[in-house]
This record gives sequence, C-alpha cells and structure tokens, in this order.
Amino acid sequence: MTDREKYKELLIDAVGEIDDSYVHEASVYKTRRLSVGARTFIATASSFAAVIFLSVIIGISFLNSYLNATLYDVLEKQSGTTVTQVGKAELSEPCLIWQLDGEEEYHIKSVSFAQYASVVKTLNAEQVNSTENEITKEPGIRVWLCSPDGTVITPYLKVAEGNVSYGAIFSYNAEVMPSFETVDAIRRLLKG
Amino acid sequence: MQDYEIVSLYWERAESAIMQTNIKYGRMLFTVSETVLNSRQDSEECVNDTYLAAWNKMPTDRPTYLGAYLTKIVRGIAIDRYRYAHSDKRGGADNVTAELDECVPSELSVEAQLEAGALRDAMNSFLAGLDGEKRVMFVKRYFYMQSVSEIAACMRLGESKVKTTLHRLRLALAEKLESEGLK
Repeated sequence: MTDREKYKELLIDAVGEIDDSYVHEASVYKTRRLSVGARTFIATASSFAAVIFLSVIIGISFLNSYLNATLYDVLEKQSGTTVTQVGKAELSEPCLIWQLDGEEEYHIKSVSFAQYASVVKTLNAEQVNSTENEITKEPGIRVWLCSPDGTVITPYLKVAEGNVSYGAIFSYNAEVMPSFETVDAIRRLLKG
Repeated sequence: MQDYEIVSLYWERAESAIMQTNIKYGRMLFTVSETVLNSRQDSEECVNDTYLAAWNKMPTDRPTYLGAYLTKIVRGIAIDRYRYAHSDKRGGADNVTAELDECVPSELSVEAQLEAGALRDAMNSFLAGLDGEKRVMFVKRYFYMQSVSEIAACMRLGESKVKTTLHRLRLALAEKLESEGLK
C-alpha cells in the first residue's frame, strides 16, 4: 500500500470517528426545502395567481369606471350651457339637462337623435314601471333627457303621460335609480 | 423504545437490548454496511458483529445518540471487512476513497503517517465550522457513503449543486489539514 492510499484510509477512518452529534444530525436531517416538483408547481401556480390577480385588479379598475360610476359621478364635472329655465321653443334638438343638488341653474348639453335613442333604449320596462320613489333615486343630481317634440325621458321618470312636457319636468320627483347601462349610455353620449 | 432505555438494557446486561436495537436500528445499520460492502450476506454479518461490539462496549460507554454510535461501529466493521476482503466489487468505499484523493498531500513524509486521532480532531474541527446543510452533506457522503443522487434527493437539491458543494468542501478540508500540518 502506498503512502497515499494509507493516508486516504486514515481520512476514511477519521471521518468514521467524528462526533456522534454530527452523525446523528445527518441521519435525522429533514430539509425544509420543497421538492423540485413542488417548487415547479408552486412557481407555476404563483405565476397564474399573479396573472389572475393583475387581471382582476385591472378588471375592477375598468369596471369601477363604468359600473360603480353614478350619474352624479358622470355629470358632476361635466360642463354645459347653464340656464335658469328651459322653454320648449328653445329646443331644436335633443338635449341632456341636469341639475346638481344645491344649484339653482340647470346644465344643458345638446345631443344627436342617435345619442338620445341610445339612452332611451337602456330604460327597460322594469325600470320605468318601478313604483319605488324617493328610496331609489340617485342622490345629489337630477337628470332629464328631452327631445324637441316634447318628450321628456329621464332615468327618474316613467315614459308616461304627464312626463312629456318641458313645463312639468322640473316638478317631478325621482322614481327609479338609473341602471348601469343608463349611466354608461349617458357617459358615452357626453363623450361623443 | 427511547435510546436511553435501550442503553439501560445494555447496562443491565439484558439480552432484549439486542432485540430492541435490531428493531429500531437494524435496517439502518444494514443499509450503512451494504453501502460499503455491496454484499447482503457480508452486511448482515457486519450488523451482527455490531450488536456484539455494542454489547461489549456498553458498559462502559453510555452514548447519547445510540443510532450514531452504532452507525460508527458498523461503518468501521464494514470498512475493515472491505479492506480485508479487498473485493473486486465496487463498493461505496471505493468511490469515496477516490474522491478524498484531493485531500492527500502530493508528497508524503514519514511524519505524515498520522495518528487517526489527530485527523479525527481536525475533522471534527472542520465540521464544526460548517453550516448545517454543508455539514450534513459532507457526513452523508463521507460517513454514510451515500451517492450524490441519494444526497440530492434527500436534501432536495440538484445533483450538480451537491457535486459542486462537495468539491468545495474537499478543497476546504485539504486547506484545513494543510494549515494544521496534517497534509
């Protein structure tokens, strides 16, 4: 046996005589590290979760701007011609009229017939037939959509006799809460 | 049964000590022995020799970690048997011995015929300076003589990571031995 071989045997023997605690430590060693498969699974799941989370956040932000917006949100900062009264003869085209609580004047913005129709069609039967009055109205604002032929449509009012005269529109109380579709239609109307 | 209870049986010279040892550690001891010898029959004999050795050592020994204590005995017996038989079979000891070549000085002097005690102390000192994971890896490889793949699976590491770490540990050990005049 060469010296090198002898030395290696001594090393092997020396390892065999290490402290019991090190031998014990190695025999009971339990790693906290997850297996490669588990780590891959978690990484993949985390990626999916991150994508879903971001999608939800973006989706919520997007939807908030539409679904959670109220007519008040939409019209509060909207500019328009301001008047203190509206006469039938003054309207040659459809217009949107709104008034914020606490204001005496009304804001008027002219719209096209197509835009007018786009809002009208969002007022479904359930909405216009609602019998709940003040309880369901949107606080802080009143809105009317008027056409030159004398028809008055408002998210708050039924499309019914008595609701079709300019002269009367300001005396009606709100009847229904505008739907999300109505709010969105008015938003698009204002942007258009 | 707890380790101290089994040790007490040895001290009381109760023959059930062997049976209880076999129940708790028989399989592990066989595995360690077979890793070295690569032979089922020889390994079973080594385990039996281990029980006899334990019977003779206790008393006076009173090990805290009975498993580690027995493992050291069976490993020593298995290595002695391996060296004696000088089998052509490739056992775990062959691979480990080859790896430790890095820790052997290129020119050995007569003084380098070291007492095992000095190397053992240096080894313990070396292990004491390692963090837990590296120490476990070293012990698994060079005490238990587990393969790199076994260690990687057990420690949930890549094989390349284990190989690299072991290589660095061998270099560090060589440096330690040299600094202490043991190489």
